Amino acid sequence: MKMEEFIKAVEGRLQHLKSYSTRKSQELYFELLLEYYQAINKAKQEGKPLALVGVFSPKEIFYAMDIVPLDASFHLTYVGFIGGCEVFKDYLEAAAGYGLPIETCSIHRILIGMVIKEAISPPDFIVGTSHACDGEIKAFETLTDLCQCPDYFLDHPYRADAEGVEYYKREMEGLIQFLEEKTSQKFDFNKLKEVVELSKQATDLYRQINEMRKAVPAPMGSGEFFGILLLYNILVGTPGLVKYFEILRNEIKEQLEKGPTLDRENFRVVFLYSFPFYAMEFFEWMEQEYGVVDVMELMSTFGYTEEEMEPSSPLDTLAKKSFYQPLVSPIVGSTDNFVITALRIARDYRADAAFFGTHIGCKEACATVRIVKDTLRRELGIPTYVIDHDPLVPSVTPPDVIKTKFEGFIEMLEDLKLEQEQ
Amino acid sequence: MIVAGIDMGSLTTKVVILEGNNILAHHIHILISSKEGVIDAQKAIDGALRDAGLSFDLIQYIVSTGFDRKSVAFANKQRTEASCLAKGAHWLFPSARTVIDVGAETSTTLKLNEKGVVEDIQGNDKCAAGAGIFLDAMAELMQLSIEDFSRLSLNAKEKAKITNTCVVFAESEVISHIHKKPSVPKNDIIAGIHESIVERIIGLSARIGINKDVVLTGGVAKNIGFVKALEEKMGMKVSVPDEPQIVAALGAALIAQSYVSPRE
Repeated sequence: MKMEEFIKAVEGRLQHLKSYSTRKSQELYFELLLEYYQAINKAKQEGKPLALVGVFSPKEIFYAMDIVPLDASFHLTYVGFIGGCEVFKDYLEAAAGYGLPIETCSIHRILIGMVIKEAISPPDFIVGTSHACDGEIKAFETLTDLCQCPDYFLDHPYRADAEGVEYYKREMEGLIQFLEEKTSQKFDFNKLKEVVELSKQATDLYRQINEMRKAVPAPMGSGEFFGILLLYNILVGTPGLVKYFEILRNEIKEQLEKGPTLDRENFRVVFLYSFPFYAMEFFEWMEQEYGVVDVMELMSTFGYTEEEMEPSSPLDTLAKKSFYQPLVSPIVGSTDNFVITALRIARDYRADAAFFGTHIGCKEACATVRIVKDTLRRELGIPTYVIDHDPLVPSVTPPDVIKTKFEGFIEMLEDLKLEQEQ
Repeated sequence: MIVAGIDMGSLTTKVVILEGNNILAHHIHILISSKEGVIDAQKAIDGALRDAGLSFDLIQYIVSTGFDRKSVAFANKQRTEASCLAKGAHWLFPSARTVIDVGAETSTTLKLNEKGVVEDIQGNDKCAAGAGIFLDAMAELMQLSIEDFSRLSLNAKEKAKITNTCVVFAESEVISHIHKKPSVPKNDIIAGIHESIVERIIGLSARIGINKDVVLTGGVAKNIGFVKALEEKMGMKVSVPDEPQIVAALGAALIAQSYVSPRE
């Protein structure tokens, strides 16, 4: 799916939503997404550089230089969401033809396949990070080789201490120098402060929304919360994202006053790590068929800190955020971060169970499965359902198989509840 | 009160007809080409009724289970395999705390409490290497009936090393063992195959913990070579029902009983 085709698909989704959606935030979501992709598509025409960036990279630095960063991993996720994961078949074949074994993370294989098949325009430069994903470093180096373009890698430290923050700050200074060289533009720190102010506003709103989601029963159906994480990650530091979060926050607040949108809430479930993105209808299905509600996702969670962003010290605050921002906080550093975060959200969101999606190509979090499962059972007495899958390749675990297996788990929850009541 | 449980598996449909604590009949229908679950279910229940000398209208309640359980239009209720396996295994072996079910295309491990309620579940990933179809493929490759394949490994002197990750890889390994000079004895190759699937299933079960007593169900439980390999690897005895394939159908029938006469 070439970028132009994808943009048309986003336009189509937006038109469709406008005809039936009752929530402004849903429309705005796709308007912002469309703007983002149109900006990427027009970059070359407008003489702007096209930057292909890693999922953990500090997007604020790019926005401060008026560069729209194409987030490689989340681009694929959006293509899967909107275009359907079937479109990846050609890219996976292209990657196989390039010699990548199937044990390699499918996200990286698809990305490389997309570049080979020219579904992504060759970028002017590539920026990756070493946050938690070794695969990204190697895949990006392969991309650099394929695209014959310069690259910059931010080395992210293991420990979230003062030394780690200082180190990452220096890494970002190096990125700024790299961008200045590649764009022949002087970096404007005042502009960065403005962008970081917007990042702070969006971050504060996201935290508020996460707090509101603690309500019992849950304020609204949950399928869209994975999507919110994606939007935050690609647009953080833009005014559109702040507007989106304000509207969403107000909608949730209003919904909390009115009462829940779901008929029943039999079981509250936290979603840990990955999810099969080709089966997003799963959320509606589990809510409607069984009254099972996703109350929080590990990857949407901020690390446990009272730290607030400080736009007047933009690099310092971005370095600190690089440890506690959603998506990152549970998987950087020690396994303890993952376990403690899983335990914290299960407790704070009053979960009855956990769903742990283990992406078979990813070793980062999957190695923690047993520790997490045992800890949740021991500390909170809640069971964890583990499903091996590939988030973008349905043939590994088809949607029906996921549903069938999960139904067994739901029956188990029902039987345990019945036993407790007796 | 007569009830029935129907287990719509991927390769076979199993039916148990129950009255009180007596299994009046059980029937296993091999699916061949039908894509309509309801036809297979009807054939299977007709077979069981014939064996029991009963007519369909005497059955008061029917619970269906298995992957295709929703296709059984005449069932009063559907329950998943996990619940039914737990119910059936606990009824047969009240001391069971772990149920390992190895069917044609799936394997599942359940952790039960003392009341037979499921406390944890782990299913296999989508790979034949952890299920009965793997053994069928290997038996076919070695030109043996599954019965001979099952038995021969008991006479193995050593175990050939076979991968446990992929049927395709395993096939080429078996072929290379056969063509070695001197070739590896068949018994040793089969023992190696059994060990490879056992390792995979233990790896799966260990995710939720393996506690005594262990009950093995599903068609693969009829493979005595596999059972021996499993017991050796786990270092504990495994209980195998007389008819391990019908445990989920039995559990479904027991659940059907509870719907007709719920406990006060």
